[in-house]
Formats: sequence, structure tokens, C-alpha cells
Amino acid sequence: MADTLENINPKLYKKIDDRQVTADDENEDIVDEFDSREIFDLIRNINDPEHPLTLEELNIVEQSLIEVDNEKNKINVQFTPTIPHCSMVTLIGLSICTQLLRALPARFKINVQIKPGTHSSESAVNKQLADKERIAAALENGYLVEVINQCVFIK
Amino acid sequence: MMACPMSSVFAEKLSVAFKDDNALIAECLDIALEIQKGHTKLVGLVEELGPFLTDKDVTLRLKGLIALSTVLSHLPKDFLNEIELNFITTFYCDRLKDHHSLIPAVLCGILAIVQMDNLPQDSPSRLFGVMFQHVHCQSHIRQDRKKIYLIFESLLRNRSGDLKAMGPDFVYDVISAMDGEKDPRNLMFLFNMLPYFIKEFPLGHLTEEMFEVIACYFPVDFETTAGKELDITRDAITKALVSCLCAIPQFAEFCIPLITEKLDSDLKLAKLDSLYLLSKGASTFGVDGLKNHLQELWPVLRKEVMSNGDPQIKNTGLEALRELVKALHSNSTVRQSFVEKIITDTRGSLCDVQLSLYWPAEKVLESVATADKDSCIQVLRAIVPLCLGQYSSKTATSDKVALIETLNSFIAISESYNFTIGSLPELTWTDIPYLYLNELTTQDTELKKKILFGLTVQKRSLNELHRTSLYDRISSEIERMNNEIRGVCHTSLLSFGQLYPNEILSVINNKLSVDIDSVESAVITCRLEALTAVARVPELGPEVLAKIVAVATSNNSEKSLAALSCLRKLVSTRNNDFDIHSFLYKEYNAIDRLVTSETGDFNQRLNLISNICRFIVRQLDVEDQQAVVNRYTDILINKISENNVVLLEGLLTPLRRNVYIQNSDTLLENLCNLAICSTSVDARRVSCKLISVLINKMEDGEHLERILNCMRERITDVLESEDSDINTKRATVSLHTWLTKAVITKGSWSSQDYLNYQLNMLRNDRVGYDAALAFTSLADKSEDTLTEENFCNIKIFYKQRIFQNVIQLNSTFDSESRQNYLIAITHLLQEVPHELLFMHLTQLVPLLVESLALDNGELILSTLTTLKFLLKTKNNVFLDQAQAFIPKFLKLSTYKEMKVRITALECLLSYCNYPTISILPFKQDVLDKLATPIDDRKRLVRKVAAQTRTRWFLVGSPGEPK
Repeated sequence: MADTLENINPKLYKKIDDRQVTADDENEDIVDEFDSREIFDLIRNINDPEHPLTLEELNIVEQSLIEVDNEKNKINVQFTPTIPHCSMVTLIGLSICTQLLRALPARFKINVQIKPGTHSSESAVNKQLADKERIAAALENGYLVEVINQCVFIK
Repeated sequence: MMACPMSSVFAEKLSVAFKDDNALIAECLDIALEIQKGHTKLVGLVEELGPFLTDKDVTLRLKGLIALSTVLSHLPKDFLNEIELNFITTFYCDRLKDHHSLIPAVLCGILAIVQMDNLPQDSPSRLFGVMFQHVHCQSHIRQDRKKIYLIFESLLRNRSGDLKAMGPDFVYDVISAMDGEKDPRNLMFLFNMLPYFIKEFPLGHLTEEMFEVIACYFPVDFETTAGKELDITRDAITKALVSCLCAIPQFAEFCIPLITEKLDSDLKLAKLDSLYLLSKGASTFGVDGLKNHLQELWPVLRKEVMSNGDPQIKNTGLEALRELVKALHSNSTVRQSFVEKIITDTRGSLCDVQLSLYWPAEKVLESVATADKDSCIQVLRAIVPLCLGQYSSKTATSDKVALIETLNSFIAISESYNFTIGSLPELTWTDIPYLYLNELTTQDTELKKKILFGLTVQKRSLNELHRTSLYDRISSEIERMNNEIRGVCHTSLLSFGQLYPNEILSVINNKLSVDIDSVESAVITCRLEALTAVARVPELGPEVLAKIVAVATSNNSEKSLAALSCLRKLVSTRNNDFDIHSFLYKEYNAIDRLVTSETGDFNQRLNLISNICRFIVRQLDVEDQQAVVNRYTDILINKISENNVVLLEGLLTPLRRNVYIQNSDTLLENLCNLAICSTSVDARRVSCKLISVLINKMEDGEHLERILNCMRERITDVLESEDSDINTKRATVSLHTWLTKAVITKGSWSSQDYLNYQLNMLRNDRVGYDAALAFTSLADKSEDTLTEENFCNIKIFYKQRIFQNVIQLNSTFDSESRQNYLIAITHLLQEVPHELLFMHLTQLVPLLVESLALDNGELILSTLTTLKFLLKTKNNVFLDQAQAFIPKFLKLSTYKEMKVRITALECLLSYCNYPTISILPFKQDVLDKLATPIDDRKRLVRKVAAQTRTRWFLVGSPGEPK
């Protein structure tokens, strides 16, 4: 495996601390809205397909690149590939999509895209990730599902 | 010699005994005894056995041989002389050529004679010569192979000189004999014996053969389950095998290729074993054995220590690397060029602290640096400039933290070799203490912590100027409101205090004043905590403690509370350097000062003082305790009040059993009044506890019985009376619980009676619920009253007794009292030892199912909490009950209380660790139903729901974690 890695020694980023539990969080009467940190917590521990590292450690996902609109039921996530010609980019996008589809209520429309200007085949990949049917088809592929499941399994 | 008359019957007896193996052995034992006593001679026996030993029938010959061998093995080792043994050797050598079915019996005989003291010098070679020629070891059964090895081992131990004289042929024969051995027990035996053989016998041209015949077992492929019955573990075999593989330096040329080959394997165990072998072998192989292989060894090793994600492999690899460098120590050219190679290969990763391989590379250099001083210096020359360079150019604090952490590690290593980085000629330009002290002004907590830690590590290398500057910084940091920094400051103060007590003492006096009139409370609290941190240093203790107690006994309540908390922290732990307890009691009269300073109006303060007294009194001996009792109890008993009962509890709870309390009856009566009638919850609780301790320490007998009956009567009166208010009734439930606990922990005769009464209270329609909750304190895990430290009488199985009693009465509680009973059980479950729960799981699980069905939020929550824990055991009972539990958990995942929802979801998550085949039928239902909780109104619920749902998606899917 080490011989075929595209980026053997990527830069590492610090993990953020666990979210502090507030008094409001424990108050039964207060309704908590979904926010970008909550979405970030769902995807930051997804494993990178190549390295024994998480998407957060590689700075592929960032809280600041997540938008949540509770009223319109919309969630936008942008991610940054480690290098502009990274061949794993579709797989990473699919893993983020899959994790969010499984963990979030169906009322949300989830949109996962590459951060503009960070990948050579950005538009092609974005088109794939925006196409629900293509995602569904990808998740029919046993081999692909296996790899994605390994990525989204959080230890 | 003529045979004695007695022996004439041997043949007859033996021929009868031949029909039965046990009888034969018994008979042989008798004969061995006869021979020892001199009643008969061995020669006589042989003559008698002659007809059998030469019979045409193989089975008869066998019986004869068994008889002879058995007799021989029961003779003392020094009994036979050289001539006799020579004769027997010849005899057995001939027998080795006989029919193959005789061989086991022959081996028995040989094993017996090789252990004898007077074995002729040429016997070993004669025996082995014939044995290796006629016996093919591996075609015999395990026990017989073992005998051959035993013969070998015995001679190796006692006659190695004679064996060496046999030359290389003997070595060859040994190798051939064990070649192909498969039984783990025999292998274990061989591996333990071989290192000696390999080291002692010149192997010559057979070195490689010897190595190959053991190397084929590496890495050990052995199922531990099979080994359980044999009492052999894979680890044990591996250890034994490894010490054979690296027994002599000559093995290096075969062993290192083996290591490189196996390191390349995909199997984790193969990698681990190879690294272990390298660690163990390096020092034996030495520079000569290693130097030609370093080229091939480093790349494979580098792969494991740099890129392997498995921490166990990485750490074993680092250990191997350290041993490897250590082994090169004697040849500085080889060592230096190897270390240089390592530095060159890791430099790329170290030049940017953000790279993912930075830390692996750093750890590699740490390993090298810990190998020996020269390597350490070589590494420091490379890494220190890299760190310092980046430190000045990097801007992100997280990077600076990592760099300081690296420097700290290397500072610690150089400290362990007793030199400083600045003392190296190439690094004199660095001024690390200056850099650290300078950077201490940073605002970042994490960075500041690391820098403080680093300064503490180099405490021996800081000059007085540095230290003064550091003390100034620490004294001001101590008063800031940052807990983490304060903690590091305290550790640092303690460290320097141990090394330079006078300096720290002057810091305390000049910079950390705790004068109550001039220093405000927030600051004084911080300073008191700092004083607490150094109070354990013997040179500082007396002065520091005096300061703390002075504040504690002052009349400023806020400041004294802070000081009391510090005191409690100090007395709650034992420490070996300085006996704080004895100092406080004897030298400083602290109990007096504390008790008399008590103003009686302040609850929190009172509790603290009581607590401190308890810790101090606990450490005193009988005489001192008696003195404390005599001094205070009289005053306190006669005017017992809601206030001073707290103090009394602190003083009396930790008494040794033979300390005498005057007027204890009056005391108990007063306490009983307080326990039932006091309006203060605290006073009631404390009184109950004190009664419990006193009763527990009393001797069983009429006196105790009378006191108990008296209290029981009062309790019953209150419970049955219509007039008593609910609070009084609750107080009596609590009192009875503590009485039950007192008698049951000491295993008193009245335990059963009290337990029955306790259980019956569950049926009480007014306080049944309170009685149920009281079961928590009955088996309280965090008990600090009835404990052995307080010299109470505690029987180990008392919780078991309570638990079994409660379980047995399952069927007697129905309708109204049923819920109380279930509450009592679930509360009890959280307190009893886990082993006990596992023993009764099958009885408990139906009760838990029942509890979940009742609509009582608290009961459901405590049941779920217990289940969450029990589910981790993966016991089969939960598979059987999955049909009951999983739908129930799903239903509770939308319950009205969020804690219930969360715990139910956690239980569902736990079920994912059960075998896929059993939980797969529930998957679709779980996924569908969890669509609701992932949209819960509370974020904390959603968090667990999302975790649980995404995990259930993996059940039975490709890539499911195992």
C-alpha cells in the first residue's frame, strides 16, 4: 500500500476538542436546531481511504465550509481534496454523502461539493455527487459499499 | 552371588503381575525396596528375569523389560556402582537393537541409568551411538520422544564433557532426532534446553543445519485454545524459541535474513515476533554479526516504524531499533554511519512539523537517542537546529506546541545522560533556557503548559538566574484563573522544591503570602493550593502546614473554607516522604485548633473539619485515639446537637475497635433521637451513619441485642403510628437501613431478621418507595463509613447475601409492592459487584424486561443503565431476549425524558456487537424506527441516534467491522 500512495506524507491538522455540553443542551424544554458544528461532528471522523487518518486531520472537511438552513431544510458541505489531482476525491465525496444520508433526517436536502478551485476535475465530480441516482447506483456496487463502509465506520 | 530365598518368588510374583500393569508397577516398587534394603541383589533379579527377557514371545520380553526398567527407576541415584552400571549399559545397548515395540521400555531403563551417579564415562557415547542408529525418534509417540529428550537433557546437564568428546556426529544426531517434532509440549521442552546446548557445543559446519531445524517453527503457528489444556501459551513458546534463534553470534547470518523475510509478511504476529527477535538478538549478534546486514535491515524496519498504523507494531519496532543501535556501540564507525543513515532518511519528514510523518520520524530519533549517549549527541545535532529553525518561522501555536514537545523529549533524554544541549560544541549557539523563559509570556495555554513542563524537565541545568526568573513567572501564573496552567505550576513548584527547598521556601515567604488581612480571597485560594502542592516535601512541610492551618482556623469564612479544602486534600492521601497526619496531630495540635475554631453556624465548614479530623484520627494509634476520645466525647455527648454531631462523627467513625467510649449507651440513645426527630436532613443522615459504625464495632451479645431491640421498637412505633408525619417515617426507614447494614456487614446473628424487616418495608404503602430507594445505600459502592479503613467489621460476602435474599423473594411481591420491589432490585444492581450480576443473569433478565414495561421513568432509566453495562458482556441470554429488548429499546427511544431516550439508544448501539446473524432480522425495523430519533428535538439524543443508526447500517453489509 505504501508504495502506491499518491501523497505519502500529507500535512496534518489539529483535531478540535469535543463539543461542550451546555445547560441548554440538557434542558428538556429547549429545542436544539441543527448547526454546522453538529454536521461537522458527523463527518469529521470519517476515515481517509488511503491514510489511517480522519478527514478532519487532513483538513478535507472544515466546520467553516458547512452551511445549515433549518427553515429550508438544506445542508451544504464543501470539502477540500489534499492535492488537486487526488484520485480518491469521488470516493471521499461519496463517503461524506453516505454518512449524512444515514445520519440526518430525510427532510434535509444534502448537497456535497468540492470547494471551488481545489481539484482538477471539480465540475465532473460535483455533477456526480449532485446526481441522486448515480449515488444510489454507486451504493449498489458491493465493492464500493465495502470501501465506503470502512471509511464511515467510526471506532 | 546367590539369590536370597525371598527372591526366588520374584519370577512367580511377576508372572502373575504381568497380567495387570498396575500390579506390575506395585510389585516392582516392592522389589526396588527389597534391593535397597540389601535383601536381594539386582543381579539376582536379572537372573530371575532371564527367561522373560530372552523369551521368543515379544510381549513377554516386553513385560520383563518393563519390570527391570521400573525397578531401576525406583533405585536411589547413588545405589549402583560403576561395574553394575557398565553391565546394565551393555544390556540396554543390546536391547535397543531388539524389536521396535520394546523401545519404550528400553528408553525408560536408559533414562533411569543416565541419571545415576556412577555411570561409566563411556556409557553416554555407547548409549547414544546405538540409540541414534536404531531408534528413529520422530516415528515414536510423544511420550517416548519426550523420554529421548529427557535422556539427552540429563546427560547434557551432568556429562556434557563426555558428550562433547563425541564430536560433530553427536550434534548431527541430535539435530536429526528432533527434526520434525510437532508436539507443543515437547517443543517447549526442547526450546528451553537448546540454548545451553547451542552455546556449549561447537556446531562447526552444522551451524546452519542447527539453525534451520529450529527456524522452521518461526513465527510460531499455534492456537492458544489448544494450548489451554496443555498450559502452554503461544507467547511462552515464542519466547523460548527466540532465545534459541539468537543463542550464539554465529546465527546472525541466518537469523537476520529470517527477520527481514518475516517482517515482510502481512501477518501482524509475524511482524511482532520478528521485531522481538531482533530486539533480543541484537546484543548477541553484536557489531560483527549485524554490520553486513544493516543495509537490508533498515528499509524494512523503517517501513514498520514510520508507516505502520498499528501502534503495537510501531512500538515494538522502535524498541528493536533502540536495541539495534545499542548493539553497534562498540564500533563507532559503523554506529555513526547507521545513525547518519537514519537521520538522513527522516530529515525530510522532520523539516515540517505539520507533515503526517513528522511524529513517526520524531519517535524514531527518540529511540535512537535513548540507545546510547553518542547516538543521542548525533541525533541532537540534527534535530535541535530543525526544531529551533521551525520554531522561529512557524506562526500557528499548534505547530509551536509540537516543536516544544519534541524539544522537551530530547531535553529529557539528554538530562538522563547528564548533559545539556548547550554543552555540545556544535550547539553552543542555542540557549534553550533563555528561549523557554522568553516564550513563557505566550498567551496560549497549551504552549505555556509545554514550556513550563520543559523547564521543569531541565531543572538541574537551569542556573540561579534562570530559576529566579522562573519562580517569578510561576508565582504570578499561580494567581491566574487558568486551572490547567495552575496544575503545571504546582507540579513544577514541587519538582523544584524537592531539589532546592530553601529557594522555594523563600518564594513562599516572599511571593506567596497567605496573610488573611492583606490578601484578597481569590488570590489566597490560589496561593493555598500552591502551598498544598509542596506540603509533602519534608523540608517544606512544617512551615507550609502551619500557614495553611492558620488560615483554616481564622474567622474569615471564605478564606478558611479554602484552606480547609486544601487540608482535606492533603490528609486524604498517604505519603511516604513526610507524615502529614502525625505532624498535624502531634506537633501542631491541629485537631484542637480545628475543633475549637468551629463556630457552629456554618455547615460546609463543619463538614470539612469533621472530614479532616476523620482522616487524621484514622492514622493514629490506639493510645492517641483514646486520648482524642477522652478529650472530646464527654463534652460532645452531653450536649449533642444537630451541629456538633457532625464533628462527633468525624472523631468517632475511624476509631479502632478497642478504643473505649464512655457512656456509649447514652450516646446511642441521643443519636437515635437525632436520627428520627431532627429537622435537619444532614443531622439525621450523620446520626444514622454514626449509629451504624458504633453498632458494627460492638461485640454480638445481650448488650447489643438490647440496644437493637430498643431502636427497632421505636422504628416500628413510628411506622405503625397514624400520627407520625411522613418525614419522620422516612427518617426511620433510613435508620433501619443503616442498622441492617451495620449487622449484615459484620455477619451478625440478627442479619436475617433485619434483612426481612427491610424487605417488608417495601410493602408499606406510605414509605415503600423510600425503602426501595434505600437499597442503594445498603450496598453502596462509594461507601466511606462502614469500611475497613475505619476499622469496621466487614464480611466480604455481605453484598452477595443481600442480593440473594432479594432475588429469592421475587415471587412474593405482587400488585402494589411489585414496583417497589423492582425499584429496589434495579438500585441494588448498580451497587453490587459485577461478578455477582453475571452469576445471576438468567434470573435477572426477566426482571429487567418487566421493569422496562412499567411506566416509571426513574425505574426505566436505572434499568436501562444497568442493561447498558450488562449488554457489553455479550452474554447469550441477551441474544435469546433480543426479541423482547430491541423493540422495547426502539419504543423507549422516543420516551418523554431525554436521558431515557439516550440510554435506550446506547443499548441499541451495544447490540451491534452481537453476532450479525442473530441481529440481522431486526436491522430494517431498527433503521426505520430510528428515523425519528435522528430528528429529535435535543441534540444530545440526535448524537447517539446518529451513531446508532449509522452503525446499524453496517450490520450485515460488506465491510462490516468484525
